[in-house]
Amino acid sequence: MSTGELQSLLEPELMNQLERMELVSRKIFRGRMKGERRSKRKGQSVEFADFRNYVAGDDLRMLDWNLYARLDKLIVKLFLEEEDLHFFTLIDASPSMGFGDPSKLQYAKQLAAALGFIGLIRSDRVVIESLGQSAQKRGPVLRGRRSVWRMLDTLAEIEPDQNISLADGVKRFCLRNPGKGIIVLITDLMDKQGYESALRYLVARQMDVYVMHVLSQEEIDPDVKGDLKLVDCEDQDEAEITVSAPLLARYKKTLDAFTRGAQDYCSRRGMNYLLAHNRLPVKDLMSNYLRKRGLVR
Amino acid sequence: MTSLFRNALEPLWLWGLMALLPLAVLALYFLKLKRDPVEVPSTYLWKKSIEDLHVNSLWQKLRRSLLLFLQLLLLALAILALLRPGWEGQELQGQRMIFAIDNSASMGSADVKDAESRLAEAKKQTIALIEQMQSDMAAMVISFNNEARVMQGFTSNRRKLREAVEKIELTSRPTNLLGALQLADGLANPGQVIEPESNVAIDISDGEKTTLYIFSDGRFSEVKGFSLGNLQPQFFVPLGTREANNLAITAFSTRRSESRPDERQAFIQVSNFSTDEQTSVVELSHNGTFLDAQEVTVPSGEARGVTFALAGVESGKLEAKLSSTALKAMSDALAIDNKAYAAVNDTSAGRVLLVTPGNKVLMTALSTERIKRYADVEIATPDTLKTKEHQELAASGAYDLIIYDQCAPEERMPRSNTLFFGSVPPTWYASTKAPAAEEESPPAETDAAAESTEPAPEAPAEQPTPTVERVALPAIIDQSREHPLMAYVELGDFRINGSNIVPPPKGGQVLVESTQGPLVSIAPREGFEDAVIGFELTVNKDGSEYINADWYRRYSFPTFLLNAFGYFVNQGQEGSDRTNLPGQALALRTKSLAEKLTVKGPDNRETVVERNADGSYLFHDTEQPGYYEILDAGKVESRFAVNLFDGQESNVKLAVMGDDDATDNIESVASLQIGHVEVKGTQQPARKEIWRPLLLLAIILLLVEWYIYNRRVYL
Repeated sequence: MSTGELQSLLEPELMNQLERMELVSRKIFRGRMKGERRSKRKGQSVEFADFRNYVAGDDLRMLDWNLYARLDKLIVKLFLEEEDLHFFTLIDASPSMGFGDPSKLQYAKQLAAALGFIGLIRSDRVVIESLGQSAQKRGPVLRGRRSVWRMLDTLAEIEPDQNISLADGVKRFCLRNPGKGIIVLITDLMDKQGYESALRYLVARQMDVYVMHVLSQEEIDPDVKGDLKLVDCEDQDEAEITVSAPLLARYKKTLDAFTRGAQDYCSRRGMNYLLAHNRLPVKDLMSNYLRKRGLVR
Repeated sequence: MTSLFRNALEPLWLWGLMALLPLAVLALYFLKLKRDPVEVPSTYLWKKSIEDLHVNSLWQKLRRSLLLFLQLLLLALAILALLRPGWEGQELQGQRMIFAIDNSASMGSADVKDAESRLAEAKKQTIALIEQMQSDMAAMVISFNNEARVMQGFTSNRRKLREAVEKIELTSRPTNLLGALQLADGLANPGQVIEPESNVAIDISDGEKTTLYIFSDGRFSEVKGFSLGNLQPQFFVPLGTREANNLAITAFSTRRSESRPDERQAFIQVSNFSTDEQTSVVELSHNGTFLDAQEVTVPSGEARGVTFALAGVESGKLEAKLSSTALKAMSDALAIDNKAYAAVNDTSAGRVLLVTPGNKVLMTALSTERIKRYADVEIATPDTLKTKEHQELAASGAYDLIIYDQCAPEERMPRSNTLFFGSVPPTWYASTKAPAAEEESPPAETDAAAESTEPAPEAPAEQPTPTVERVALPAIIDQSREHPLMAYVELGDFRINGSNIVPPPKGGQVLVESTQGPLVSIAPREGFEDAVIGFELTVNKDGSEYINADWYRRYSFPTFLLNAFGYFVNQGQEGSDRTNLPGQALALRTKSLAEKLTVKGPDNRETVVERNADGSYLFHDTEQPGYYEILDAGKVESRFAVNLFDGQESNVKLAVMGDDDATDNIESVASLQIGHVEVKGTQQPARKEIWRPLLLLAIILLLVEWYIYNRRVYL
């Protein structure tokens, strides 16, 4: 991957900004490896958690000898284990994501790269996948600053050609990745079967779900005129319209209802919903919106 | 509807075809609806947006399609324009047209719907016809009342024709169609010349067919003996209705009361030209001050008179008008005849000159009070006739009457009426054959009679005029009792010693006939009249006066003199009080004999009139009904009034030929007969075409469509 492409996904300025950030999960998950994050697990660390009586088999290194000297009892000192965080980014790479300038997919990649970058520098386990990936082929698990290049390579490989329904894609993802953690689903939610079943899978996994709803400016404020035959890029479905001011108003109303519906659905199920459009700089999105929503700190 | 689209598409199926056109456009619109395919991320939201529109998608597709509506509208307008909608009527016919528009008084009737007057309607219809003219057509505009006038000669210039029509104004004159027809005929057949010898009109070129349109209410007498020649076909455009009502003042005059000579009376005649009996109030005012009012009830189609006593009214303007409430109630159509005017002039005595050698009988007879009321009598001797002063005065027409007793004027007759006693005017026989007898009349039986012939030959001294036959003791056997001079004059009971026989010249009339020839005759002369009495009353001989006729002893003598004064002197004065008809030329007379007179019309416009050679002032500008004041050196000398007083004009019901059944359809009776040709009537010949504005609207619509198409303005 060239430096230019890297810069298109992660600008140096943004990277400087991201250096100071970390991903925050509202839930505490168990990590796989030692990381920088406090874990539910008690283990070796510097942060004291509790005392308990010694039972046979405990690591003698954990005994608090000072307490033994005072109380003549074998007390084991428990420390909170510091673990890594599982951070998944799931990008919707359906053809509909290829629209807009920059395309919604490109925007999704930028976002994924930014979030992934934070995860990598905080030693979290970062997995970036696209919806169409088969169950067998899992996305690479990335960890550490060194993996930034790999992450970007992975992102670069994602093309808007996977004509797969949102529900199917999420389902496969869940099958591929049994672990828990934070998942950021970047999608335009444009699925005629609906997005509800897809999100339900994620809810069922008890993951900390962030739904990043990305729309292009053209979708928010369509610039169309005259008698048109709209062709759906995914299923070649056609819709004949004669653009008129009332129809445009009606479209906007429908779009509003759609986004509001998604937001309601998410908030009722403990998911975070964030609507972004492709003209909103990623930098702003990270520093303002995501920080407010608590995904980053 | 049929009247709207008259002269449009004749076969009915064409209408169906036209109706199919919008449907065809609609179909084409669907076929044309080729939508540009646009790839979008998802049709999901769009489909949701147009979901409810699919319920009745066919019409929903058309909904808000402004362009389609505009196209349909454009097509509708184009179809309408193609159908050439127009109001029912005739189309212009022929290449040459004459529009004859009646502008007589009755055309001022306000009984035409949506028009100020019949004339306004006529003008409107004429202009509508002019609008239909093609570039190769020529037309002419004539206005006619009792005189016809060419407003615009043959031209293809529609603007000129329109302007000519606009210029036509309502007049107060009566109607005479013949003049208009003669004028139109003369202009329609320009190739006609009249051979002077045979007085026969010969066509020197083939006359072009000319269409004559007559716009009138038909208020004119039947036109007989007129050949239309090339004036065909013709259209009579009847204007007005047969139900028009009108109440009119048809006469208004003032006269001295018979019983009380110092008091005047006003007579007003009110005619009812409506179908019901009408009651109205006649209001009389003097110089703008209300004098009196009387109610008058007039049965339908009749006239009633009212009389007002004008005590103390000496001079000024009298105005009689019908009360407006009654007029409004009956919806009076014509306003001009609701008022009438009369002028009351000072009763100034006439000026009479008696030239006599000293006839005491005559002088006594002319010195009565009764005579003085008529005129101031000046007395002169025959010598005066020779003076230059007298000759100038006589030539200027200063006298109303000159009585020549036993004498006659020197060279020329004076410019006034004359009465001769025992002498003959020098011009009396100039135009008649001279009497054959040259010999002296037989001597009179009396001495006086023999001498009485002396003064007679004086006048024609220088001219070889024939001598006058002198007879003795003529016996009166007949007299003309119809002539005003002889009214109440009973002759035959007096003796005449000797008399001249005075047969009148050509155009004259014998008033008294004797056994030996005419004794009294009267003859006209250049607007005046000369009455000649063959015998003298007295003759002067040797300084003494002898009786020639003892007529002066009879009652008939002063009666005759009064008649003569009344006839010769009072005629002119009565004339000034008499009413005049609009458009009539008047010969005005004044006492002062100024070179110029000023006449102030009802609209306060002043016209200067110059004196004619005969001492009268010819005034033509009497178009407007009302008062006219004759100003001499800034002072009102006398007045006269002009009134319509024309029963035919006031009877404003649409006059048409045919039966008189008012319930008849107008088309069937609205025609008139000219010569032996029946001119067909058309109710509204002016076909009002609206295809031009429709087409204009369609073009505007096309521009709007173009704009919308380019600007993509959507609702």
